[in-house]
Amino acid sequence: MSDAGGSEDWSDLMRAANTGDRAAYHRLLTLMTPVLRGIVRARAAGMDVDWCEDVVQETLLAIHLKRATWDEALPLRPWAYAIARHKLVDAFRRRGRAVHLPVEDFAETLESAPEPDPTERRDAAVLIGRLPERDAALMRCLALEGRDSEECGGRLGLKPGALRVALHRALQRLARLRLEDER
Amino acid sequence: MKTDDLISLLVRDDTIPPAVTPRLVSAILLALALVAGLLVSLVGVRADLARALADPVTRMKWLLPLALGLPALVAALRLSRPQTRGSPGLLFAALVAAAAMLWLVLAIKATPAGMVWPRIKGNSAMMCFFAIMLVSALPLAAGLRVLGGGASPAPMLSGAALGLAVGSLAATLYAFFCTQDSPLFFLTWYGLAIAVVTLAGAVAGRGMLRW
Repeated sequence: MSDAGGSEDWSDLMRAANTGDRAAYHRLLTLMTPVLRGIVRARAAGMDVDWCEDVVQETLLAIHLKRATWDEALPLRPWAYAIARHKLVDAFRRRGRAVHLPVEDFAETLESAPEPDPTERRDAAVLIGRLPERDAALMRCLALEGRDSEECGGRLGLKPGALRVALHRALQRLARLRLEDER
Repeated sequence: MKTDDLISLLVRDDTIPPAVTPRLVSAILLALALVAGLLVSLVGVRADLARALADPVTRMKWLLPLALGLPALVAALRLSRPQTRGSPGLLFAALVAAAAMLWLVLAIKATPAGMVWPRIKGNSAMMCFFAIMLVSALPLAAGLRVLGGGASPAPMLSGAALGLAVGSLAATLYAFFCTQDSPLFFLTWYGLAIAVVTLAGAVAGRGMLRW
């Protein structure tokens, strides 16, 4: 298997992540992102960059929330591409555009030059705004302001355990918001 | 939110999502055990169980639904993974269903015309039909909840596989309580009840198993 997205093996990184290695998980998601971005942009000709980035983010979120559905005995890439494909088909459907994306297209590894995240995500910011107040505040504090858990917990009156649960639930809600947009 | 910000959020969330397989199996078994306990205390297992199990035709009341339910359960588990293509379990279950239908047709042909409907009807047709659906309700709901944590490539098919698994296992369970042993009876009503539960699973799965 070729090694787009760094010399490390994705499967090894995910296995390490599953044992609680946060640095490995961060590395994995960072390596995956440009590859996923390349795949999405190549399959979504004619859609603008922001739209594609939303799909990339939805894919990352799904990879995160559904990582228990990866079988550690199998390579991670086909699993990750299957999720990207699912999210892309879903995003097209929301646009009212029926698509046929051959699975085989997602089986090959697509080399893509690492591209920067184009813009501040307006759409994603709107989504965060639709979360319950405390979820939104927590996400803004942790991600946008980049503060540590202790400080955000203190500000929102959450003990460390409660903050963990709150963050996990908030991410799950964020993933569901997209689905609810469908007619 | 920039993608890098999202990544840093994801890395901070260290809640490990539970694996689907053990939870689905235990949810279904637990729900079935609960209903079985209720049935035992309300109705009681059929008195002539040993004799019924010894009869090769009557034994099919357990073997046929098991041959549908177990492969369907394997299929539902496989379909909780996003990269799954195709499902041998469902193919096998379809063959079993086809064989059961063929048996029903042959059994109808072998029965004198005037006797077909009375034998199909037995004396508890509606009760059997609704009982299997009732027995299925709790395990189906529990199973859908657990499968929602999966990532099905085809939510409707996943729901159908779950419905087929649950409906068939419910029929297997109900066979311990049902004394109607004519193939015309059980092929018809068990089959119909399982089909309805499969359909219910498909419809529910379409909405509940999206991700």
